[in-house]
Amino acid sequence: MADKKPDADPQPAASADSPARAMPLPGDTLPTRPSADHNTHQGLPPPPDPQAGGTMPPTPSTTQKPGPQAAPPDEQPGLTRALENSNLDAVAQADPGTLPDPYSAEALRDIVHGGMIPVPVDNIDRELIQVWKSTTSGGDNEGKVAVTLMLAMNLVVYTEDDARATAVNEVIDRIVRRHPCRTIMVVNRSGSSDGAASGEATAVAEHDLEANLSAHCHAADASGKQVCCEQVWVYANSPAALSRVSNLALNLLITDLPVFLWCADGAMYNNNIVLTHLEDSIDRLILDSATFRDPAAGLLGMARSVDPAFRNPDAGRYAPGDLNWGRLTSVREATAGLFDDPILLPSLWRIGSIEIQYAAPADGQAANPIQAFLYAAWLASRLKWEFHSGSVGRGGTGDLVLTMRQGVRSIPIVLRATTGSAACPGEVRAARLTTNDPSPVTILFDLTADAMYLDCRVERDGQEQINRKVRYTSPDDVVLLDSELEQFGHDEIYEQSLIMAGLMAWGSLSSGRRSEISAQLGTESRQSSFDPRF
Amino acid sequence: MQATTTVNPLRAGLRQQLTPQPCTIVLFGATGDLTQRKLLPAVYNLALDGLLPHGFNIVGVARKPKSDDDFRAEMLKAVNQFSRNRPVQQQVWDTLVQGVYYVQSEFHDEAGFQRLKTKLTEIDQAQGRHGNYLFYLATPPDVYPIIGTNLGKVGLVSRESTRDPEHEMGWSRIVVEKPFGRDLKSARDLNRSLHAVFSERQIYRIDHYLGKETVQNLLVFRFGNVIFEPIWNHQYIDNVQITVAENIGIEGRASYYDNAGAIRDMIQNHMMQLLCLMCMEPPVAFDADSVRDEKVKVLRAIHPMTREQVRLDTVRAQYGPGSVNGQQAAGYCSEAGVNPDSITETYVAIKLFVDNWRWAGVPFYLRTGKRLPKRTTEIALQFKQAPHLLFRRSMDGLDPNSLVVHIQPDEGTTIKVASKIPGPLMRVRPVNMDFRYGTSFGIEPADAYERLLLDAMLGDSTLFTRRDEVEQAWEFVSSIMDGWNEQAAADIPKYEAGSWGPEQADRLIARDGRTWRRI
Repeated sequence: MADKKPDADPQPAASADSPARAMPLPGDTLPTRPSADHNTHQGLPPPPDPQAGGTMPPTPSTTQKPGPQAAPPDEQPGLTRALENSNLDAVAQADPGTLPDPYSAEALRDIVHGGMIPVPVDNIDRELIQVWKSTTSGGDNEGKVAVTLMLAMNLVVYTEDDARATAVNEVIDRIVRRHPCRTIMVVNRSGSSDGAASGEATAVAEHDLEANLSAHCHAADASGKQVCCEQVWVYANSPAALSRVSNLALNLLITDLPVFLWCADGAMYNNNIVLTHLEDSIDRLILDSATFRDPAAGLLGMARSVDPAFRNPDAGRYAPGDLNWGRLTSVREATAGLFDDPILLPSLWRIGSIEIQYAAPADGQAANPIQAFLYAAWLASRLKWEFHSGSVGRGGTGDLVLTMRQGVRSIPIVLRATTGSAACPGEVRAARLTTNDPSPVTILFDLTADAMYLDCRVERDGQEQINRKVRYTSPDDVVLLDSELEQFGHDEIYEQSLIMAGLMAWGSLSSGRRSEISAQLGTESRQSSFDPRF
Repeated sequence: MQATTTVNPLRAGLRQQLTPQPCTIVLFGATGDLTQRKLLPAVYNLALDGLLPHGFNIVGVARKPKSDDDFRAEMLKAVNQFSRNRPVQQQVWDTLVQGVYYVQSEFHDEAGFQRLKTKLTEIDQAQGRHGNYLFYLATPPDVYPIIGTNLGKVGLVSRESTRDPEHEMGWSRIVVEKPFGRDLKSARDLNRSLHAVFSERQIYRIDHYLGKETVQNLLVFRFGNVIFEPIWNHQYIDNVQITVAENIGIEGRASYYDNAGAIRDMIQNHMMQLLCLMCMEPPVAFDADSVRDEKVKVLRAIHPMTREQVRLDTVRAQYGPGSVNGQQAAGYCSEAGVNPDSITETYVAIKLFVDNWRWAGVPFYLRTGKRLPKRTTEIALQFKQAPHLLFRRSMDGLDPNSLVVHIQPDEGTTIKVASKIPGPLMRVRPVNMDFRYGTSFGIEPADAYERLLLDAMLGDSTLFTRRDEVEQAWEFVSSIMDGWNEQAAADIPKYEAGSWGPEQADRLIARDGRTWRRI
């Protein structure tokens, strides 16, 4: 990761951990910049002092103003504004007569240092142009605020509450340094993800959709020039508003740049109206299957989206990504690393049984087996095994027992939930791969108790042959998201594993659950099976 | 890319899709500057990134007697001082250091090479393998031949660049640092001497410029995009300027530099490589021989200079006293270790042509020097004027388009285009369209040596120079050196340290009605 430590940042006020960056939430009383057409917009404070006229400086807009050290000195170096892949056309083509007043230097500095400004929902795109416009050559703020706007992709983020949105905002603040983007942060406060009102209305219609602008900025170099990425916050306060969010987002996407949708909130994969409306417009969908509320239904939904047997061939095909797959990378690297050794490689083709342990909550709640499924499915798909059958183990162990086939060989895989601390729900903590040999080779991976190392051992006939520790880091959301954003196209290995994991999960379900999930996924016509071969 | 012979299906899709086989790097010149500053930190950073195989070892070889532990301590110190990632992470170091050894030997001493063989055999037996060896020559160039010969004599060289099952040996490869010879004849001699022991596929002649991300990106820029290639020729390009400027002096390397000079230090290797990548035709594949075949064709299209051409189209010069970055700087002849009467050039400017269909008539201006005002490496393509100057009045004094590839620092690409200044008048101004690596990717690029060491371990020689490339480059450069040798020593102009070189260089390009780019 290229993210620097906050103390390495020459501008303390711009550092990620600085209190000056804390985001106020809408609903706080936020003064705003004046807008010529403010009366037509909902949710905005009353018009400013008319004496200020059209050229009045907007007031600083955060409740938490930057401290004295935060405001950059006026003698900052001259303006440098380089729009990379940005809405230059829009800037050039917008009719100056219809644009709102420019932002004052104070308001701009406020935005640069983490401030948030409410904007009229129907004019967000114009505000986005206007906010930086005065810093360009000949603008009112030329030379006063040194800003470079960087945009290399669109990132739409879906969250379901303000607390999560704040946490996600911190992640984005670090990620934009490596992946400059325009972020559209959708905060669904409606209590419903499918856009349908469920009983009581949660807000009056006029205030049901709100928008704010903010920016993620960091000092580009010692000159004090700020590199900024803009962010639009969209708050949907009612199911009806949520159904309008996707069209709003479509208007805000920068043309020709890749579009990523990150469902950051354990949101149900299925029946999410934002995803449903945007799925033809996005290049990548990023989820986190460790947070699925119904893991089986979520996994099957994801698998279906890439399985040619289910995919609508006419639909635009976005590439799915899963942060939980990223968490498996260390274990996959370690597994592959052992078999890089030419001495051990032949054993890979003779693996005859696998046991995988994954973390279960201590409180007796159901464990999330998706990571274990994905690991097993990765091995199976790479080794060209076919799924044969699956069942929940006998004897009340709760083990999931899968049977794979390769030719006449039958390869059992056991997924076993074990309680203990884990970095994420369902974390794979140990695996044992045993060969079908007269003197069998056993390959073992164990996460050490401190979760710092992966203990990799190879035994032949019970004799230890290799024992090495590989550093294990449980990556945080920044690291995981970073690697997802690096990938623009389809990750074939992941998709093959996902399809296999779907088969495995389906094979382990009771017929009652199958019907339930089939109904949910809208696969009634094939209710009897997820796998058409059944 | 050449792959290792075994295919591990679990590797697909992982970050490092090819991993080197277990191997031992034998570092000749283990106590030298290059080893300390570049090679050992590169090995550590590869370990840190998890890119080294299980069963990786380093054996340092040098003249000074010392123990394994002494060498390990020195390595730790070097990594802590020069690595881009520091301080050292203890766990990574603890694993790496288990495979670090030292063997004392004079380079001409066959008995010392026998000791080396014994050590390598011990390591292999302990790990249960037939060893794979990467011999790295980080020594003064005069001992390259004897090291190669001794390695052959004691039987440490298999005849394969990949595993040699017939002789129950692993692979052996040799990495040779610059300078590769000091003229065409010595380069040919060195090639012959190495070829007596190693096949061409086992020889990796390193040019660290090729390990730089931006240099590799030049190929992606040219051949991964469709919009540049149609204009990448004499019909649209007026001239090309390649600049490698350094603001440092010789930094204590007098004994090497005073014998080499700028033409051997920069032109023969790095700048000819940049020129090749800039000019070459699209290769049929991105593999070692396809890429190098195309590079050699470029070099063959650059004809050796006649004496008259050397007089007219080359300038050599030496820096005198001056100031750089506000600091007083001594003249070259006053630098420690330099012969006060030295006529070694520290600046070279050359005008040359690539005589082929694509580049007919396009002059290439190369300049490199020490103690110039700033450190920068770039390739600049100056395009021709638009055929019909529609905005003649408003464009008066404006340069035509240019495309600049910045190699270092501030890696990136800039395209200069004319643009209308907003307003009722038709006023035109040049604006830059900029791509900056740092801001677009925000990733600290790996050091060139990390990439090249890894490639050598993987057996991929795409980014290394081949025998015919080296000899062809020398053929051109030797013709210039021969011309200079016939000139009077008094002809070497001086330039002030901290300036952009001698006025003779300005005259060289001014004769064609052009000027050097202001950088």
